Amino acid sequence: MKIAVCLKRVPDTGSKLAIAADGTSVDEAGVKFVPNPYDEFALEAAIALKEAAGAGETVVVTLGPDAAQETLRSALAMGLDRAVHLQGSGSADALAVAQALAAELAGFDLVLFGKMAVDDYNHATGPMVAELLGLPCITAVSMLEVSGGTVVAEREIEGGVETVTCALPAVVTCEKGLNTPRLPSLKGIMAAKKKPLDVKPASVPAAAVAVTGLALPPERQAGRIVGEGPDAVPALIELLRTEAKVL
Amino acid sequence: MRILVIAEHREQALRGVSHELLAAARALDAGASVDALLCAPGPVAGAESLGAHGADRVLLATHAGFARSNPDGLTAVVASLAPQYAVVLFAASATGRDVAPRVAARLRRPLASDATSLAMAGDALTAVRPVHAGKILQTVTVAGVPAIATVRPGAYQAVSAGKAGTVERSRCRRSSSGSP
Repeated sequence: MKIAVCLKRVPDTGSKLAIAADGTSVDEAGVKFVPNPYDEFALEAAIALKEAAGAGETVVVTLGPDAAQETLRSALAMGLDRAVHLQGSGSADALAVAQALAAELAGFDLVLFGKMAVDDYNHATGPMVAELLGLPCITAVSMLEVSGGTVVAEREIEGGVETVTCALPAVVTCEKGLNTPRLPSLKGIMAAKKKPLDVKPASVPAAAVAVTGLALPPERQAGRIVGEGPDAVPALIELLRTEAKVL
Repeated sequence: MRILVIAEHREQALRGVSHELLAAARALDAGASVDALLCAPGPVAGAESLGAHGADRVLLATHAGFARSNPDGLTAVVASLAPQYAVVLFAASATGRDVAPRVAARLRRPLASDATSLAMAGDALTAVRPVHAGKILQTVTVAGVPAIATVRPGAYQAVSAGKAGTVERSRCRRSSSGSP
C-alpha cells in the first residue's frame, strides 16, 4: 500500500503571536515552528498501517518555504520513507493549496491529512484534494482500519460517533484520539538524514481568498459571580447560553 | 440577493444550528430571498420552523441514501443548486466541514471557513474567523458567486422571523446511496 501524508509547518501553539507591520500576516520573528499537531496523527497512522501490512511505502509531502524541510526531516525521523518538498508559499485559499498538492498526491492508495491546521483553522484542504482527485473522503476520524482495500473509520459527530466505510483509494483526515504519535528515536533521527527528500517548485494558483486584516481578540474579561446556591443556577445557565455561548 | 442555507438534521429531527444559519443569512441581507435545503430520507421533524426563523422556502430533497451520513450525495445536491445563489452557508459542523470544502472544490470556488461573523462588502463576502487557536481574528474576503462559507455553531443566535415558509419537496433522481 502506498500512503501519502500531507504535513504543514505551523507556529507552535504555545507561541505568543504578533501581527506583522503589513496588518495581514503574523510576525514570524522569533516564532518556533512545529509540525501541525493533527498532521502528526496522520504521520503515526501511516507508519502504523505500513507496519501492520509489513510492506508498502510512506511519503510525506509539504508545501512551504525552505524551512519546511526541517519539518519533513522530523517526519522522516518518525519513520516515513521519503519526503517531497513543494517549494513555495502557502495561501489563505485552501483550494489553491489543494490544487498545488493534488497532482503530487495522485496514485496513492491512501492520502492522510490532519483534520485541520492549527494556524488557519480551515478544515478544508483534505476534502478539497479528495474532490480534485475524484476520491472518497472521510473527515475527522478518531479510529481507522484498513484491510483488503476497504477503509473503516469512526468520526466524531456532535453528540456521537459515526462509523463510515469506503473503498481505497481514499482520503482520510485525522482527529485527536486516533493514536499517540511516536517520538523519533536517535536511530530514526540518524536514518532520516539519509532518506530521500525531493524538492520541486510548487505551482500555487492565485488566491481567491484575500486576507484583508488581522486583529487581536478582545481582552479576556474578569470572572463574574452570578449568585450563590441553587437559586443562581437558572441565571447562570441563561448567561452560559446567551453570553458565553457554550451551551 | 439569493442565499442558500444548508440546514441539518439528525435522524430526521432538525438541528438547532439550522436556525443560526438563517440568522446569519438575514444578518447578511435582511431583504434576501433565503432558501433552506434539507437532504433527508423523508420528512424532517421541525422543518416547518425554518420558515419562522427566516427561510422563504424550505427545499426538502429526499432520497433513501440520506438515512445516514452521505457527503457524496449532499455534495452532489448542493453543488447542483449552488450556482443559482449569491451565497451558500453551511454550519462549521461535522457535516458542514465535511461537505462545504467538497462543494467549493467541485465548483472551483473559494471557501471562507469557520466564520464567526459575515458581511457583504459590495459583491464580496467578508468573513471574520478566529485563527491560531483564537489568538488572532482574521478577516477574509471572497469575491464572485456563489460565495461559500461555513459558520461556527453558536456564532449567531436564532432569530424568530414570525412568518411561515413554504416547504417544497422533491425526490432526488440521482443515485446517492454511496457512502460516504
